[in-house]
Amino acid sequence: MDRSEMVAASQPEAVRTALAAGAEELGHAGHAHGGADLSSLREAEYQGRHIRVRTTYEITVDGREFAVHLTVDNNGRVHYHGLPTRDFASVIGLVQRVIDQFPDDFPVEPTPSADPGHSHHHGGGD
Amino acid sequence: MAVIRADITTTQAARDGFVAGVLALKAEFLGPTSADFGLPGPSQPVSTYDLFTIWHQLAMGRMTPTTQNDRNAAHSGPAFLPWHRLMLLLFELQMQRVLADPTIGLPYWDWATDGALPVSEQTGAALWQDSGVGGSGHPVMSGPFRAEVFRVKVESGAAGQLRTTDRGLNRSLGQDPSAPSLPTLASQATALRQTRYDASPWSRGSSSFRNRVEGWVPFGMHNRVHVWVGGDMGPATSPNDPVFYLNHANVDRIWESWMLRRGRTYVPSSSESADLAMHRLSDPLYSILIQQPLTPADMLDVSSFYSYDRLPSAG
Repeated sequence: MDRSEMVAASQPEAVRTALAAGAEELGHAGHAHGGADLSSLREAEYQGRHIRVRTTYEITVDGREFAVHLTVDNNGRVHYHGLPTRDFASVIGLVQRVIDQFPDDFPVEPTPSADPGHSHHHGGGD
Repeated sequence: MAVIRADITTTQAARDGFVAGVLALKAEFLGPTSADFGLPGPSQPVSTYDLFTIWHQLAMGRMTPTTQNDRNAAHSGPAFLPWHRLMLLLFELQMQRVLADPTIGLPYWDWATDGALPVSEQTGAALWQDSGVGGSGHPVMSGPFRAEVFRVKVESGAAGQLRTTDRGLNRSLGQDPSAPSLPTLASQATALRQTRYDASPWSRGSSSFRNRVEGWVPFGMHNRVHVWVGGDMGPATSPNDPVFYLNHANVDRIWESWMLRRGRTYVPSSSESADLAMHRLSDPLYSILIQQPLTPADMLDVSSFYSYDRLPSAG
C-alpha cells in the first residue's frame, strides 16, 4: 500500500469518482436492512441428531407492527441490527432499548385531555 | 511521513488537531447529496464527515454471506479489525488534507485506563470535559461538539434505514445498565494473551483475539465502549459521534500491540470458503470512498502511515 497512492485517493476528485462508481448501489442507502424473511434459524448437532430451531417474532408497539429481523444465537441471545454492538437476553428488553434509542419512530398517541382548565361545553349552562 | 497517534487526554495538540479536523470535514461538501443516497425528504448536501458515517452504516447492512445474519462486511467477523483500520486511515488522510497538515494524526482514547477509575469518576474523566470532547446530553451542550456547532445530519431509524435529520449529538455516558463502567485493564490484558487472531465459525461465536476485542464473548471492550457512551454511539451510524474514531483508534492500537507479540498474521487465508468473502486475507475490503481494492493483507503493516506513541501490554 503506497502512501502517495493513498494520499491521491483521498483527494476530492478521487472521492467523487469512487462514489460515482458505486452510484447504483449507493442510491438505495435509504432502504432498511434485511429482506422479507424475518425468521432466525438455529442448528446444532447433538448425540448424532440434527436440531433445527426456527424463530419468528411478532412484535407490536401500541398495536403497530415492529417488523425487524432479530437473530437468535445458540445461547439464546438476541441480536438486532439497529443496535449492532450488543445483544439481549430478552426481546422485551430489546424493544425497550429500541424505544429509548429511536423515540421518534414510536410516537405516543395523544390521549383525551383531562386538563380541568380546558373547558368543553356540551350544551346548556349558558 | 508517518504520523504518531497520541493519547487524546494527555496530548493537547492531538486533541486540538482532531477537533479541527472533525469540524472542517463536517463543513466540507464535495458534491454528494442525500438524494444521491436515496434518502427520503428534501435533498441536502452530505459533508465529507458524513460520507464516513454512511459508509459504516452500509457496511453494517451488507451481510457476508447474505444467507446468514451475523457477520457483515465490517463486524462480527475477521475483517472487523482491518476494515476499521482502513476506515480510520482514510479518515486520517482526509483530516490531513482538509487541514493542509500532513502531521495531523488521529488520537486514541485509552478507555481501559479510564476503566481503572472508580465507576463514579469515569463519566467525569478528562475526555468528557470542555477541554476534551464534551460530556453527556440530548443534545450535547458542552465542548467542541455541542449542538450549536456540531449537527447530526444523517441517522439510522428503528428499522435500520438511513435518513436525514438536523439535530445535536446525543450521548448518555454510563447510563445503560448493561454497561455501567468501562472495560478494564484486566480485560485488555486477557485479550492480548489470546493466541489465535480468529477462528471458525468466524462470527460472534468465535473464541479468538478478534472476538474478544470486538467484545461479543464476553461482552466487553469495543462493544462495551459503544454502549457505555450511548446515544449516537448506539446505532449503525455510530461514527456520528467523533468518539467513534477515538474508540476505534484504541481498538486499532490494541491490535497493533497483539501483532507485535504474535506476528503480522491474519486468518482466514484466501483459500478458505467463499462464504467468508470480504473477510479473507486477500479479499477487497468493502469501501465506497476509495476505488483501489485494499485487503486485510494491506492493513497488516501500516508503519509508513502511522505508529502509536505507546502500546498496551498484556501485563
